[in-house]
Amino acid sequence: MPNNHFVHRIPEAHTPATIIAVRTSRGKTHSKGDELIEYEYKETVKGFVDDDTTSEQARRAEIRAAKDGQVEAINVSKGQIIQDEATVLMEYKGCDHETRYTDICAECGKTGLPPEAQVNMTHDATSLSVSRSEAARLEKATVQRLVAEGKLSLIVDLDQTLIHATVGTAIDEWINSQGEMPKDIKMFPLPDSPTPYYIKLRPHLEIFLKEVSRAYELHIYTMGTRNYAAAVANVIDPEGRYFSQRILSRDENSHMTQKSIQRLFPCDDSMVVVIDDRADVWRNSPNLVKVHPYEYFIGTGDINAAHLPKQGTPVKSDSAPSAESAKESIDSLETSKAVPQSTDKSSPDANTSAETKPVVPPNTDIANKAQKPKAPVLDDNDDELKRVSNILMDIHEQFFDVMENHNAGYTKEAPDVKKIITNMKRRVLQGVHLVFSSVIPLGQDPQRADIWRHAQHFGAACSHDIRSSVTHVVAAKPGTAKVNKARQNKKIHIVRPEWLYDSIAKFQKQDESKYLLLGDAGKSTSTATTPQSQAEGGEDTGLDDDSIDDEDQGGISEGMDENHNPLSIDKAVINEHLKAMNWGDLEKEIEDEVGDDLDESEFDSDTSNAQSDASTDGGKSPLVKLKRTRIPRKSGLGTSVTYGDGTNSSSSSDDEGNNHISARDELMLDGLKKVAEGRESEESDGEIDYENGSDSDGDDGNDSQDNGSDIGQPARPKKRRRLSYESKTRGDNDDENGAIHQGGAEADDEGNMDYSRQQPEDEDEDDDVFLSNLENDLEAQLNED
Amino acid sequence: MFFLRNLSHTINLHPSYFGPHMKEFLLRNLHGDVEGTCSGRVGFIICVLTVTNISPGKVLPGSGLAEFVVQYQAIVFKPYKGEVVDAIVTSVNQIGFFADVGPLQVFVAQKLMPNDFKFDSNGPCYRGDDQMIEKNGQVRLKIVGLKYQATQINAVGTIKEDYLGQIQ
Repeated sequence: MPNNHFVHRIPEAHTPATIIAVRTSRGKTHSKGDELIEYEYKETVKGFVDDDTTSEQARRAEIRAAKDGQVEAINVSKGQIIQDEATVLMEYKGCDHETRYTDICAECGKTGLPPEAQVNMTHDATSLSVSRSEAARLEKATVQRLVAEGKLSLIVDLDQTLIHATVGTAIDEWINSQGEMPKDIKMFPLPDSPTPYYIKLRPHLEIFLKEVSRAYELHIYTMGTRNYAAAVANVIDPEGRYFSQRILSRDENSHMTQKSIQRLFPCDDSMVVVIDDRADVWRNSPNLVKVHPYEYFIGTGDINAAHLPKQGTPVKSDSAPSAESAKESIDSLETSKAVPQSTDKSSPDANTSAETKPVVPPNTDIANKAQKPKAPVLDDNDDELKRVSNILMDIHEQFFDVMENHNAGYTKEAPDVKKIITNMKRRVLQGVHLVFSSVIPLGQDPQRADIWRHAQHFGAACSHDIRSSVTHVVAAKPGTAKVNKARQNKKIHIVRPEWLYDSIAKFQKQDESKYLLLGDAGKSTSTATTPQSQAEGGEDTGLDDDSIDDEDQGGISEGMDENHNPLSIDKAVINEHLKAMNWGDLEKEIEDEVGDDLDESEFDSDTSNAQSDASTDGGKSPLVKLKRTRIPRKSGLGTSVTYGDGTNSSSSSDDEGNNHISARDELMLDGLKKVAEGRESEESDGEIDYENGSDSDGDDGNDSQDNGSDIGQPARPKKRRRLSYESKTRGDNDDENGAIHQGGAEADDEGNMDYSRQQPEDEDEDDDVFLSNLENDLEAQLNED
Repeated sequence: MFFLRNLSHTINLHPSYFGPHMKEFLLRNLHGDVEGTCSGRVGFIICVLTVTNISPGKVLPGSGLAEFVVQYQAIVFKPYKGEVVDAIVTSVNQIGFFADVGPLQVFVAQKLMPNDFKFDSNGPCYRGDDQMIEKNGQVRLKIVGLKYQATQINAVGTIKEDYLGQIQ
């Protein structure tokens, strides 16, 4: 380095000079300001005695080190007289201490260096650090080398991305009982565990590594320990062809819960792609291609993620929820693992996971015993790695295309995988306009929800409410106001969240028809048991399903029992809308919409009647009116098979008056629901109201809660509350009809029976009474008609 | 560099070991306690050669343990700046390589390798005109920087001088 090379001479003014002392030796390191050579020279001083005389005085001076460094050569010795300034006294090499091993400069050997802005960039040595400029230089060299090889860098995660690992006595016993090691399961001991670790290689792993390593230089970045990472690397890459020594483990990671590209590539991440099953640890880095978590040993999850935050959002939630449900499917008695809710879960959930995740252990004896926790589940039709491999190859191809253009001068844009990945993501849901319904937990700002942001990253526009531009409604359960509203627009696809998750996971917009929201009984989980979703791919659906459950838990914190209670869920939805809507808007909306296909005056009189009746404790007439319009739908509730056909015909033929009425009614109820509180206790109040035709409302202690939202409109709440419940029960039916509309044959009598079966289990006695009353009433009405 | 040094070590012996075999226990304790340890002051204690003196045990008030001061002679390894040592390469990265000199880990930066040494990520290794430094290879290096800490010693080395580098 030229700027660090110092050649020391005697300044001309000081010649001739005598070297007094050489205070250094060749190779010695010095700090800035150290005295290296001392010399003496003569100075002529004028007018010391008087102006005419001059005298010579001896002065001393020294040569000091300009900066930290090392003496390269000394050409003088003590006592030597230097005659001219051309003589080189010594050569000195400065050092910027760019590479440090602990606090020793690795270039000059100076110790005790202050901790400065140094960065780690080696995989396996945290004690080794380099300065930013040195890091940039090294990285540049790496980039040049990679470009020359036509490669990019790929950081891969181990757990649940390439492999699935487990440890413990249970799996040990199971493996031992197998006699021989099952295919693709490898075992290795680690000093920190009494039992060996077992890892299952993800299907197609070998081909994946082989193919990807042609286009990428592979790095391992895992939250496991160094020993673990080395052992796994030894299993998946015994010859060190793919990873060599490029392994970074928890021991070298500076952060316990985060992974950072900058840890390995401090300056330039434009050529780095990351694959991991968790996006949160990478802070949703644009370099990340998220893969679906691989789970073979059901219930184990990620053995190295214990210290990571639990994943709470559906897109990222993988290990925890699936572990939970899996455990149920195998053995709900096993409580040693830290998933406390598992035993509280309803049996339908367990069945669901059992179906979506085929519980077929290699050895059926073990499976039947079911006492074995964590009996491995043969869920080995995973072709995620193939898919990821294609995406990676695509990225690679695009990168070098851009680079070619860039080098040829066609484009100014330098190639950057971040842009490529972002663009690839954005194309996936281009032109899609989403509305979420009961997907994002209530307490959360929707725009900050992960699913919302993910959807936007993948090119979808998201909005809070149904608008004309909306193309998709992503709903976790049928019967919500948004879903109901969306049903009226045939162009809007109403899909389950799995559609979004799968589209995101596969980097490809999925066919909506496979993910239609089914209307039966308002069970989000039951949708997963349909043949469609099973055919679609067991693992995906299963996990996504779990995700929804997870979400529900987040949204409704009252307890697990309420999770499968449609009422409570509806309450959540209602509350959501309550926030978003006000009554004025609602009325306007009703009028606007109804005006299209209804006699407006009739409707207006209806509503006004209803209101005035309610406010004056009036008779039944408005209710009767409302109920009558409801009849065709109500019959779909399914206890009575007779009306099921009627429902079908009426709803499928749009010209029929019945349907118009129900559409209007639906809309009105829809609106009403937005205002009402879905409290069950109040529903029972509403029932009494309805039965007696009198206003006995407002006495209940629970009412205090809805007062807040209904201040200034004393009469309405009761009516609305009453209606809101009905709209809930009706909402389910609507969805059935909707499903029929959309060509699904799923919403049949079976679905209806399902609903009616579950009703008594799930709801309070009050609700049962109310329902039966309602049905009786309806039948009475029908008969009248 | 290796030295023969006179050192002393204090052992607290539990009363259950008091008896005819006490000296054996003391010696066993001594070997276990000091061999293989490192201190910045004496370096790495490689091996206890002879025990020159064992002081009479002094029972400590309160605990009942007896305190013995053992004088012994041991071979110690204390590296010095400028020392030339033979080492085995343990890991190679783009910044340089690590090599073990027995218990001492030495880092050699790429800048302190001859100019013809280039990093090759396939391996990974450093290739010179007629030398190659890769994992598990043997090198002769000169220590240029040392840091003696209480329980460990860190060192950096160079191979950018005559007769240093790969040992054939």
